[in-house]
Amino acid sequence: MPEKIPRSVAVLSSVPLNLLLNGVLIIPFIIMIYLAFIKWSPLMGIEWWRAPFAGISNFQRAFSDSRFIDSLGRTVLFTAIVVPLEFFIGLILAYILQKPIKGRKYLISILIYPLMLPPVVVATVFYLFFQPYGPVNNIFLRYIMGPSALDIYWFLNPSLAFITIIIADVWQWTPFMFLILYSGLSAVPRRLVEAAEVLGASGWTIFWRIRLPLIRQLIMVALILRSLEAFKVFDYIYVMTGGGPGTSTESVSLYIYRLAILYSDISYAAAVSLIVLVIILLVSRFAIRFLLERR
Amino acid sequence: MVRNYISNILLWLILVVAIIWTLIPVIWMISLSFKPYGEWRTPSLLPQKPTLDNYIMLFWPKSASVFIAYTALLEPITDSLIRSLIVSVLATLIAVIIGFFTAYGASRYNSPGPFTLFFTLLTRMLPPATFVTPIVIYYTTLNLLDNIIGLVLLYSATTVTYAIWILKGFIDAIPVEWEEAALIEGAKPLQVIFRVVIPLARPGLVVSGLFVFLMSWTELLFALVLTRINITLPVQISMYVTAVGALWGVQAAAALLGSLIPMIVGYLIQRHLITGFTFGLVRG
Amino acid sequence: MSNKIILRLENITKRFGSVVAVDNISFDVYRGELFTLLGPSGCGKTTTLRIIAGLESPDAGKVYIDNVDVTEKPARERDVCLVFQEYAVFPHMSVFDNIAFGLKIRRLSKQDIKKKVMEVADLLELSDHLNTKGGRLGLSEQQKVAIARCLVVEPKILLLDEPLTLADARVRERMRRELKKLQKDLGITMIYVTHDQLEALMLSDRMAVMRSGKLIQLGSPEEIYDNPNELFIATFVGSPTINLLEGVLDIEKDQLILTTDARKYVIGRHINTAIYQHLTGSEVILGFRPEDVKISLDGTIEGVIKFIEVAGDKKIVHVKIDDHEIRLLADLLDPFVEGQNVKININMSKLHIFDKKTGRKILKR
Repeated sequence: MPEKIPRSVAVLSSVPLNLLLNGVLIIPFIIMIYLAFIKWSPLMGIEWWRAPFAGISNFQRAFSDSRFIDSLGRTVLFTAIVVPLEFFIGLILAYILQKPIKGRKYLISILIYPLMLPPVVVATVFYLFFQPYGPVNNIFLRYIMGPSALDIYWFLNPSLAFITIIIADVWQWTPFMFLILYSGLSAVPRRLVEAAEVLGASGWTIFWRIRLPLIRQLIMVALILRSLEAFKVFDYIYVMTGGGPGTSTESVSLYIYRLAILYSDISYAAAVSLIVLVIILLVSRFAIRFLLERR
Repeated sequence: MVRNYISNILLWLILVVAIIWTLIPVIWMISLSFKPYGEWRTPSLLPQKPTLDNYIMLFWPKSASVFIAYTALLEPITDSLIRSLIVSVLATLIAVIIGFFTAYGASRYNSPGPFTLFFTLLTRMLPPATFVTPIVIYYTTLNLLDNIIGLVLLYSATTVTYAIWILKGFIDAIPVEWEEAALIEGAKPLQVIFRVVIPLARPGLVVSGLFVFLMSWTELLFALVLTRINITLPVQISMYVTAVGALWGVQAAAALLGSLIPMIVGYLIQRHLITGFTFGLVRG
Repeated sequence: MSNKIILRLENITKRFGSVVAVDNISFDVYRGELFTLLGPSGCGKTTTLRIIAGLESPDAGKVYIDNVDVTEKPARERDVCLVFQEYAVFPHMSVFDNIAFGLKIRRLSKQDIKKKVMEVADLLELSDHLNTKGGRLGLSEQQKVAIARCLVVEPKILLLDEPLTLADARVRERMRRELKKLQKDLGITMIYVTHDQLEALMLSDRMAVMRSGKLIQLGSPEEIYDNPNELFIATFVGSPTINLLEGVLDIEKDQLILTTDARKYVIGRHINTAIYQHLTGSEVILGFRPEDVKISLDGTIEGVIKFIEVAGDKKIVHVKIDDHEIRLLADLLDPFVEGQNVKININMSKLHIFDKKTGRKILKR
């Protein structure tokens, strides 16, 4: 491409984006940063811009807040489990559906259905699912375990509760991975696939050595985007376990939500959010560099 | 070959399991939507006394018998449905268009550079809860509260990064030579974009468009906070289950209904996904 | 089937929707020859090639490779390889890996693979580029890699789909010669698809001319050139293009006369009337190539030189005869000038006569 970027492209590729992001998000973001450095809560009865300055006390409080740190670790664990799980299942499904099967369009429509529901609804459904009177205990486990299945209280056991969250997330978001991988695989030029065919390559070889390497960038994008979202997990925990039993399934997002809405501790919540933001920033910067290097 | 046969069966098995796994909650939701008030907490797969009451509640709340169990007033679902449609479509258009041009500049000319691109991810890194208060403050001063435009702007701003990153992936995969050849032949950069790049980037446009649409269609938190009267579909759906009364069946019905439009969109776009473009023009 | 035949196509037909791309085609290809499918865009030659490769399935007919019916076999099971028009070099792999790809699939040992790849790379002068990524290669390197990739697996037949169309004009000439040399040196059977008639004439041992899905003539380049079955072939093959005159044929005394619109032209004198007897009164199109027409003092047709162009080691002289323009070849040193009145003689033994309605040749030699 020419060295110098044409005027039209230069304008179109930066101006609209800047307008949008700066116009909509910058000011609220700055407000949020400001909130983290003051001592304010709506319960105090004064306007937020009149609230006293607090320096870094909010941040200091966060570092010794064990509930915060626990939630952080838990969320990391959650992300580390669901993302690879969703990726591999999505990959397998993308591989399978590459083959021209009859009714493929319908199958794909079914497989991506979970994406069409608001996460809250999915959370509600799975909440009902895992109730003692719900189908999981009464129908599925009954077959395997007999009547004792009715005594399993999914939400009263920390590990089981954690598993239900994972199941909900995997159910809803595996299709995301699948869809990105599938569309990427479909976009690989037909000629390259044919060239491999005439050289004797089987379907598996073509998938593994031709298609997959060519969508490496897309795979990284999918992993990064999904990881960012998984880290913010909220709906399932809020509806299904309420963070419980106790705070054993509380994610970072839920904790922040509680601070801001339940305890009205907005300044502290803002500070915690910023800390989380910085952590995610650093980790993703590192991860992107690492993944990009392996070209 | 036996090996082929076994692996084929294994793959078929996986596919069938995946389909069933996906469908179970859906089937249960469907059944729930036809269950009357008393049966919502039963584990049975099929309703014993199936009823349309939940669906009636969606459109004609006052005529539904389940309404009696519910103390808050609720509008028919059509208004919020239309509102969600408008918001999602507009947000998708804005995010994909802006996202496409940004991705194109980033892919071909490195402008915006990798730093800015990384920066756009920031919009997805922040846990939303604390952003709520600032955005309420901001929108109050701008008078964008309870306003479709406000939502559209917020949704496009927060999803545009998806469009950028996904589209960049697709544009990167298109051979540069074609655009260079067109430029040499005297085409203007914009013409090249519209004639060469866009047709080839169709799967990317469609996928990112679908994601943005879905994210806007199902977004709850900010919609909840930023709207009072002009609520969107997810807000209304969430309202069927509150501290005052839990209308599980109605919520299931609402969610199923609400998923119809994205389903149709998802089905229709598929033919744009299976392009698998070929090099060069097709010769005889 | 004799051992001489390495490929046989029997009644191959392929439809795409309502379009018949390949219409009942049958031909044989012999072992070790360079066989060309020639025809204009859209004539079905590429589709035929893809059917041979196994990338398309024919709606009817059979494909035999080395006496074995491979019609139902997919591409990967046939012992053929195809070099695509766009080369389709794997952009994410190095040149070495590209070439080694087919060998890895065949599970050769690392040493064997290395040996074979180096051999072919040497042959095609790619040894310096072995580590370059496919996506970064120039066009002629890409072509070489595409060919090397196929050669190294030693296929029974090497198929090439217009491999030189993308190349620079200057480079094309050289590549053509190298391909021919390669084919002869290795003794490999090559089926070559092109729309460039010059290329086909230069390269082929035998060639098949296709049009609208049908095979209209098959033979050596000389046969196709000297004895085209149809008007279409006569005009398609040969450069500069064949000269054409349309009219009604007659014999007067011992002269062959063509009457067009207003004029009567003496095509030839002292002819053997027996040969042309059955053609008198027919509406015909006469064809004669530029090299078969001469300017001569005792020429039979009069005209004026409109334009002379130099082409390599010859001159192309454009002569205007009433409403027609004839091209003929002359030596560089011939003393003709533009505006000069001349008479031309047509070499009767090289005259092609086509039926005006059908375009088919009506005079056999």
